[in-house]
Amino acid sequence: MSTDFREELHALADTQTFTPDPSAWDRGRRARRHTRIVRGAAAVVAVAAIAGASALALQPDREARTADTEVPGGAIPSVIPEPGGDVLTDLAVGRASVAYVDSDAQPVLVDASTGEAHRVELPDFPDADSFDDYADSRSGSWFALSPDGTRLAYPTVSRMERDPGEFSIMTSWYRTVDLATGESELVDLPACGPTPWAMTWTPDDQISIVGINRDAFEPEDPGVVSCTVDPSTGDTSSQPLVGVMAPGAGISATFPGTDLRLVDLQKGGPPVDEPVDAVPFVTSSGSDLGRGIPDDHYPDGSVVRPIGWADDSLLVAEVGDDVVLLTSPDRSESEWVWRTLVEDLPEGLGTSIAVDLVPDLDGSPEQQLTHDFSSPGAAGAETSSPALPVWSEALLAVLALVIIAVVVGALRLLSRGIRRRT
Amino acid sequence: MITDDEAGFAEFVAGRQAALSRTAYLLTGDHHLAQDLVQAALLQAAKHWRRIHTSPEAYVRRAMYHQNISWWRRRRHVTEMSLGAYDGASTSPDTDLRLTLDEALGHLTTKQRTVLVLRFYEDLTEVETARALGLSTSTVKSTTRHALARLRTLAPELAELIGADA
Repeated sequence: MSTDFREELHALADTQTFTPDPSAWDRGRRARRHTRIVRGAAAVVAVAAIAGASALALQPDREARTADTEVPGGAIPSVIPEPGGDVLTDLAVGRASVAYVDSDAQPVLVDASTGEAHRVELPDFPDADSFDDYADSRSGSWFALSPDGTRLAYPTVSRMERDPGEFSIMTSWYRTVDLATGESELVDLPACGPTPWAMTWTPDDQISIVGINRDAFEPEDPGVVSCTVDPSTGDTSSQPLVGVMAPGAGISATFPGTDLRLVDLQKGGPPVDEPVDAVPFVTSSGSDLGRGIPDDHYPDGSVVRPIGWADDSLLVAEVGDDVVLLTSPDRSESEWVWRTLVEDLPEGLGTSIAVDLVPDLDGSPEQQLTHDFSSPGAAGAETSSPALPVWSEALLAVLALVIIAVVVGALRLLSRGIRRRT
Repeated sequence: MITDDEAGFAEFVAGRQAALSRTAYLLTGDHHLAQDLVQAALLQAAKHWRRIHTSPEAYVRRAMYHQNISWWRRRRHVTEMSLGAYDGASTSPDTDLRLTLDEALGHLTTKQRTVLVLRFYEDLTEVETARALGLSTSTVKSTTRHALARLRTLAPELAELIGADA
């Protein structure tokens, strides 16, 4: 490269002048304060919601407590309806039960309380071409809904033209969206790799990804790894098992293709979403396990995409066109369940579920795990005799709010007192 | 009262604003956009100052690279840039090599332009460029090669400046 080229670039750059906006600091700090205040308020609301939900949970049948078409606290819908209305640009939509990307790469959220589906406009969301370019490597969804349904995460994948007509994928950041406030934040990429094969949330609010290990671009031919990134600090850590790890960390729901290397992909290796006869798992002891897929329902096997864990041994996974709850195979067979939560998912490019909305199993095969929002009188909406009258639920929720307000006020007074003394 | 954080931020802006804005111009090819790009990156820096104050420049530069690409993604849906739409097209590029380079850079893709700026203006290595942009080193290599080839095609008079081997 001629040094003249560098000199000309420098000369060209010197034509730019800059007058800094003196308010940058104040505006930046105000934005930070605003974020904190909103987060604080969201936390109070979240705690209040949890307290309210706890009060509601005193009833024996948590997911089927009302004959109305709304479920306070939320439930997973038994059927995902077609999205309606305009595309939502205000993202403060509240808790979602399901997040999926439709076949046009349009993100859709299902309201946890009403079961209604809405298309949403998300900043820097990948376009259809990006999904298409990465189809052979996506082992899960790029659109991850947190276990409690209040946050989203996705990669800001963009498509760049390498040569005329030749495109490649580039991921600059991850984004999170707080569905309580509508605010979006950028998250630094984890060291283990920029573009995820799958993105989920861990139970402790970290983003978990599976992808090709690009850490320091070594070794030359990296393999598939999993890691987590804390969206609030940017801290990353690698995970011992590839896939979506159970909270106990002893087992992970994985997928075909974990033995692929970068060179395999560059050669156009096999896609990672081949149909399988058993849901694959890996364990910390190094053994591979499989949980057979019912061949009466899936005679040719099925594509499996793990979504998240409802508890230490219950996996929520996309199996073919269904969302299924199944026991991991490290448990004794007497404990095994296989329950279909949602049938006939909309055709799309990835689905995520708020796994906290899966109710605790009571051992009965008749237990309703989802809610039929379209039919108030349907079986899924049948009402058991409430343990408490409705006014008691409201009273408990108000009481919880008052207690929280008092505690928050006391803490603020205490911290103000400490600051004054220091 | 000015805090240590604010003083540190002000010192950083005062010391680095000129260099940042020069890079921003090369990234965007537009003086106004360059101002906006630096301002947006500084706003982000102020917001996250406590986390990034030990190495703010790396953060701000990275924010500029990615913000520029993000803006480009939005802009491309609105307008298709044509030869005549380019800022410098109305001047006489043939009479000034620098203007020719400026115009030719404007016809590269944002990624090509960004890679060239990082490699030959910021003097980053291929590995450093790849890390900054979240690309593989082989992508950086091929993008550089194709970008330089495209510059030569767009403006043959730049061949001597760029070098035939590049």
